[in-house]
Amino acid sequence: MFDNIVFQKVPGPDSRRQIRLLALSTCGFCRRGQEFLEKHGLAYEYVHLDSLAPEVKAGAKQEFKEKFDASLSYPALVVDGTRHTVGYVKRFWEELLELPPEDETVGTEGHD
Amino acid sequence: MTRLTDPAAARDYALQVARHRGWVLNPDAGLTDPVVAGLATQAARYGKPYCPCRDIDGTDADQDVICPCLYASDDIAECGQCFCGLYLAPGKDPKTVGSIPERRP
Repeated sequence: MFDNIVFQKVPGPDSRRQIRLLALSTCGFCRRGQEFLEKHGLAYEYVHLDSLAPEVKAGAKQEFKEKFDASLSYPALVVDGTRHTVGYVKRFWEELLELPPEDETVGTEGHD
Repeated sequence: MTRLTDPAAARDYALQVARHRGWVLNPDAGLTDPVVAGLATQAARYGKPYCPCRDIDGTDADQDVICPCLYASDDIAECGQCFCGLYLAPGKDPKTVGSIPERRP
């Protein structure tokens, strides 16, 4: 998926999975998400949607919606093209990436 | 609004908003600095400090997400933070700040 997008590659010791980050260049949680991936030594690819041409961005949002039946918000993490989470909530990222949980809890409160 | 293209001015703007609304600016610089820089970028791109954590086009349809967005009060009342984590309710532990569900329709 996302064949029309050029992702920036960030190398890391652990490249077992294809990890793709859909982000905005202006978003604090997107930055935090990148720091999380790098801290855990995970190779990943990212794109800043706000840097894309409008038609390419629209296509990516439509593709995400069709694939995951969810609206795209940022950051969005897609693993092996099949599993995803939107937003940066550390424990959800740990679960998705099968990492052991850390003590610190980040971002768990929400509304319906 | 063009002055907000300066990150220092964007920070002052956010501080004034927080004081006026009875919120506090998130003391976690690792999160707040990029968000404030994002506000400045949005002001440079679109002329107004649109929410840097949402995908916007800077059109009339995005008036609801000029910082502070229309949803910030409800998010802070319910979650203790705004969508970006820039503004917090007094007493909110910054370590518990993370993404919250999107309230914008």
